[in-house]
Amino acid sequence: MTEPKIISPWDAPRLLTATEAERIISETKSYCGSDGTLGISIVSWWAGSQRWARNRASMTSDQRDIKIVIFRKIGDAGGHCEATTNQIDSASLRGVAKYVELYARRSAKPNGIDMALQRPHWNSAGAPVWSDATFNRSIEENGSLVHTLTRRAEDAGFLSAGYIESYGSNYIGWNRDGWGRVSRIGGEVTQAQCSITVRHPKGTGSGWAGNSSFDFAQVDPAKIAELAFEKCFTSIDPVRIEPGRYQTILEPQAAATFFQGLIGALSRIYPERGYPGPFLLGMDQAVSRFRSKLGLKIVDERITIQHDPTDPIVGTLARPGVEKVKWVDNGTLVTMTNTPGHAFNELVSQTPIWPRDSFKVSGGNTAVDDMIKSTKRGLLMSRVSTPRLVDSVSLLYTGVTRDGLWLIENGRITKAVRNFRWTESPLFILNNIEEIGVSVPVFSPVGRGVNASSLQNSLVNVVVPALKVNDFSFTSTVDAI
Amino acid sequence: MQKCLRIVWAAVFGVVIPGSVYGQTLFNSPDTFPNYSAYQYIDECVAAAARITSEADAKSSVWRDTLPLEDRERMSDVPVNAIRAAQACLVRVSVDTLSLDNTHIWASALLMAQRDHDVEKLYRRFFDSPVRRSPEEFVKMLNVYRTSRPIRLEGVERLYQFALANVSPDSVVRQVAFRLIKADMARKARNKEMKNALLREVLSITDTLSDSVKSSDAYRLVGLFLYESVRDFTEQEGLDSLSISLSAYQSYLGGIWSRVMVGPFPHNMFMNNPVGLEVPPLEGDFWYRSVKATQSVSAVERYRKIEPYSRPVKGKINLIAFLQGGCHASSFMIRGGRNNGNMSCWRIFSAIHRMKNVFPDLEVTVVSKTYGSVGDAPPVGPSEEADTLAKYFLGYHRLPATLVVSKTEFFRLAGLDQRRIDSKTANESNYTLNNISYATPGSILLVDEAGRIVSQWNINRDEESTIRRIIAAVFSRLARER
Repeated sequence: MTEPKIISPWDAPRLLTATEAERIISETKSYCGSDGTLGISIVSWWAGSQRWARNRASMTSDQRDIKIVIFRKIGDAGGHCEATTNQIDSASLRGVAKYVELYARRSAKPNGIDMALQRPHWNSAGAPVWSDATFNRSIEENGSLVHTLTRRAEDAGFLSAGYIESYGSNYIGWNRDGWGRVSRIGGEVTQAQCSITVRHPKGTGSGWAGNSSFDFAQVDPAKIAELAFEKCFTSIDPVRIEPGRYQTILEPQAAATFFQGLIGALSRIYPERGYPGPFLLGMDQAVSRFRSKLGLKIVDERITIQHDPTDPIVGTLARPGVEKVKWVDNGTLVTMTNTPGHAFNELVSQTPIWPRDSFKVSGGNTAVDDMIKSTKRGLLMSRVSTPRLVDSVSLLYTGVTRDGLWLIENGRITKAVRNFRWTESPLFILNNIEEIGVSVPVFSPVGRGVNASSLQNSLVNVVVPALKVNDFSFTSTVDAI
Repeated sequence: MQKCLRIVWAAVFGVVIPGSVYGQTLFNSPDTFPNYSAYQYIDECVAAAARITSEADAKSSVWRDTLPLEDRERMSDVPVNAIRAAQACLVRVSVDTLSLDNTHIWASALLMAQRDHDVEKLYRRFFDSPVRRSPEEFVKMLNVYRTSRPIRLEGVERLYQFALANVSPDSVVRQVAFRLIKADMARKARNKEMKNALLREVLSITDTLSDSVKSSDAYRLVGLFLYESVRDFTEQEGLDSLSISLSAYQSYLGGIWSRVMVGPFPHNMFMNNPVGLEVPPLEGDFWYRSVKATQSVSAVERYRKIEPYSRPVKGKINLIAFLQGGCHASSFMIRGGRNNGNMSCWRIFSAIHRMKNVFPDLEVTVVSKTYGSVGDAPPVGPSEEADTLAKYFLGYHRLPATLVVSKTEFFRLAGLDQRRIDSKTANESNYTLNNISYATPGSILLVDEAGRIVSQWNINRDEESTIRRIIAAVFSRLARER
């Protein structure tokens, strides 16, 4: 038996190596019985970040941890147990394995479990979302970068706040089901984020910019800092104008919010069970079934929304059953999400369509500058904040503008405008498109996966274009800047 | 796991329970005793007391669900905590000053708190008030007594006598209805003498009614209930007729019908069973028979594929159980009855086992059909699906039966929809008799040796013992004839 060994966090590698992970799995298996279901998953992660506020560094962090999850299900009676540890020495692994075995056997419910049915096996496809440039960032490099980023705001007498974070994780999972079928999953991922807010010291102007990508090189913090400063500088002392319907240019970050609202409502189950919603067409009396709007045009025909898990730009980690999907094809709704139950029973199909947060919207080729030039009177919106669903049937949302709203008159920006509350539906916006810009990745805040499944779900990559839309509804002014 | 349970609690009761409270709830339920004084309205408080009662019932009857119902279960005492909860709710309530709006809600709470004398005070105030009270309000009050536990026969009688003097006009139909309700309460209270006396009284009233009264809408529902009650009251007479012949049984049922109702005996009504209707042979694409487990046959492989043969078997007593939809706990709720309720199915399985134990010569046939998949498992071909169903019914649940599975024809909706729309199977079409389908999921038919229906029911815990007596009568006739 090996004794537990205390390792200093600074001595530990950022992530477990594949060899070490294999050793842990193999050793854990040897402590578990050969009957029933056994699942072992290992996630190791590292995150290093620098935060600053009022032009001064406020926090430097370097975090890392390991999570080993052992799951056992024994016999038809359904006894099961799951336990977690971050200790990788033999004594700890053996102890956790024994605990899981004991409680799985104890928790059997002889009367309550129905016959076990074979679970499906799905293929996994993912993108190479690993970047050495992100993973190898050092604290020193980030510190000097923060110094550079804050200088511009400080020199101009503005206040800057923000963060840079590099995150890396790898995971490996080994599973043996009740029929003895063995499967493995595994992957590694990096994620770089940068978010910067620049504000006027008197609170009369605010600008924000941010980006996220698996590759630090694509985040470009210098450009983000410049953009945030520029937005703040140009939005000082906004004037109040009347709320109402305006021709509006939504920068990609603002447009993303509305596309996310649309994507989140694409469940096929609800309309087909007759629940009122944006995609319920009605009852088809001929077959006594509720029909969804599948196959019907729902937005402007220049819009195509899709997700390809193997595309590095919007890609995600390999996740069973997540395959390439096209939600909207030239304005027509062609795919909706469903559950395994719906797929198996209603469609007699092997694979469900899982919902996902990452997506890519086909772009046009109009630059935002050109959109401004062609606008006689309208607004340029940088970003929206606190969107809330008001009506789930029409997908009506409400929220406020934030960090930059400008009035456009006769093809040029004439003044900064006070923030507005807006009340609008993505379906209305996407049916009133005048022009479409180039699709670019936007900042999509991500969670940190602390186990394989949350890691797979937490990576969100959104690629959307700027939009120029008619009659965007601003319902009241907001005093906050 | 704990988080999941907390979410379930939150979904059911609409509140998020803090972790520490949840911990107590998990181990002490249903002995939880929340602070009822925090409730603003009486109905919230009553609902909380009712929740405690239902939790206690659910907890104590999880596995009893697969056993026949005993009357004493219905009469079981209200949990002490529910009584305490109701008493806590009502501690400051005085019936002398209570508002007379929603009297029945107050009465329900007071009965829960075992303050019966206050309930009587309350309805005396209610009916004595200058506001004219309608008979409907009396019925509401009656229902409060009917659903209270333990059964309060004296209380309901006092209410009725009081209402007779104060609620007018009181029709003959309502008098019949009241006595039937009270007879039902007496049955639950196992007071056979009172039940029989009430039914005799009802029948004597009914005999005096004219056909025009019996044809009225108000009477028809009461009449159907009366028909059922009389059938129950004269059960032995019915069983005796059945042990003579099926036609004697039909005459017996027809006699009750003509005494309490007008019009011809409705063969096709669910309440009266399609007695005497001849059923066609079952059709199927996959046939299986259960076999005994041996050293070479494992537990879940207690079935064999067989060649089709004529069922129901002529010359034998047959039980046909339509269990299409899988019955599996993970079956999804689609296409009318696919998920017939896990516990309902298991209840049927338990009942079939018991019946087969008592009547070894009973020929049991389980009828099912293909849907494309079983439960939440991925789709399989019809043959594999039928095999899975055989493994499920005959192997896993050990049903001593023959399984008939029909391959369901279907088409897909056009375009991107692609949903599967099933056609009726031959059995579903053939077992639609007099425009009523007897092939619905969970429907059970008892068929005699000549292929005629003796009884039809959806097994529930109330009926199983009755059905067993019917089967015994049919077998005794068959034994005597041979």
